[in-house]
Amino acid sequence: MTKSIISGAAGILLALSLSLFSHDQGVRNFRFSLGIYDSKMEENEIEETLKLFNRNFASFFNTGGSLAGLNEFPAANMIKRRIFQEINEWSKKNQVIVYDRDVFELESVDLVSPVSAAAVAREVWFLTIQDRETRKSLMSGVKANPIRVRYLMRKEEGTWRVIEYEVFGPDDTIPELQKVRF
Amino acid sequence: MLFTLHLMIIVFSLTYYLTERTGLFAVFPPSSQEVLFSMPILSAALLFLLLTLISAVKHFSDIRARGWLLVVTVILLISGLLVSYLTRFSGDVVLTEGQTIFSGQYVPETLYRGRFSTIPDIGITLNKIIPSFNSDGTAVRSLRGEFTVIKKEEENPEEFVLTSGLPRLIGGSWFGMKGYGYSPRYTLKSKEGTILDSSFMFMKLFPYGSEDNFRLLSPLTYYLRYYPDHNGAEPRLALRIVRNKDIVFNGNVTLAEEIAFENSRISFDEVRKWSKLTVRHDMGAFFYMPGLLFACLYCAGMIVRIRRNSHEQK
Repeated sequence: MTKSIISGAAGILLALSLSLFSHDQGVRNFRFSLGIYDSKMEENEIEETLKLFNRNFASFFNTGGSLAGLNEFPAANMIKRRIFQEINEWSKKNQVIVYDRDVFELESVDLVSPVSAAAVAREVWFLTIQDRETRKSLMSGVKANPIRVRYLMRKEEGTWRVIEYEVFGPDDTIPELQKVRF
Repeated sequence: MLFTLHLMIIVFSLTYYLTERTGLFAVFPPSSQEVLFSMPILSAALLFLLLTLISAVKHFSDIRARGWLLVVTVILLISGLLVSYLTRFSGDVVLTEGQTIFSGQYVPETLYRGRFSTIPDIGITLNKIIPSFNSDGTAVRSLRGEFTVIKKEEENPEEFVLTSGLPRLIGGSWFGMKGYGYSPRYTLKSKEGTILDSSFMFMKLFPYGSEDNFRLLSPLTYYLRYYPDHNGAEPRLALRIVRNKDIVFNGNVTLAEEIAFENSRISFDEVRKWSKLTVRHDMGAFFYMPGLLFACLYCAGMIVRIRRNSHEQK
């Protein structure tokens, strides 16, 4: 009987140890699974990341595609590609689109896993199209662009990055997040 | 000694399986197949098989019919797992009505190919999907799919019907059906009306209100929600066109209605249904299926024996 208990306990211990050490950051993941995780710190980091993202986002457009800050821009390559694709389209017309941020309010942060999160923000941007050379506005006024954005984020090498974002109208309902492995 | 080792392996395997499946130490829990085909489980299974064989040889003359049934069950189940690991092929493929697929077009994250597996060499056309919904139309109760299969060695294509939850054996592989959604066909035109591009786009637009998006070569993102002719209303799409963070269009459109934006026009002319075809090919089933049957027989025998003993004691 004692032998059986010992062998059972050894089996459990072996399985738990193997499972723990076979995963990268197993202890962190375990703490996340049990809810004993500093999610406040992660939320603050996510907010700071999004502020940096939006600062860089606007400066890429406003400078007509200056590459300064590209290395620190916390975004996936596909996002960078889309931004510069649009900047190039405006450049071909000798124009720039200027993004002027008015409001950024983080509404919610949903930590899906220790390395992935979805954050929803309410943002208001003022957009103007300007002549690339003279910087004169080519619009009669500015376009107010109130939006809600859902950022899908991933933590890579200890740093949060935006891997995708979805843009909604201010009154649109945001559909449920498909919690696939992102 | 052998018993304690057997016990340890069983406890180890169960604990490891449950720990992995609950994702206690992982970022995302792996699927059952990923856990079963992981090295710790396969090694434990192999060790268990070896110990069972050693035990059977050691106590050859003492084992009764019931004992042999257990030995055969263990051999069949574990060989089934190992053969399955080496020969299993499984993959899902998304098919829109009218679309034909040939082997090789599987959704990458659903694909598993054992070292000695073979890919079913057939082509399949999905002709029609007939869904059955719950009362408020938010969930699919069952799906019926009408297909045409084109086999390499046969000249005439063969028609067959699949129902969700009831796989069918075709050309040595099991075919099943799961998942449901809509594939709208967009047509992108220039300002002058020249067609630039047109294609069906598989999207997760079910149930109503679900949103999905697609991108073409430009920096624009097209977000769609689809509201079919539910309760007699005209089918409509909620369309949002966004260029980076600038909403270019946000509104409802009917089928074939052209929306002008920037220097282009877009319309959604037709919406078809899609489903996922699951393809499974597994030589291990020849072992683990009889193994499961024997396991049931063994358990039934044990229940009968326990009941008989309790009656005798009374």
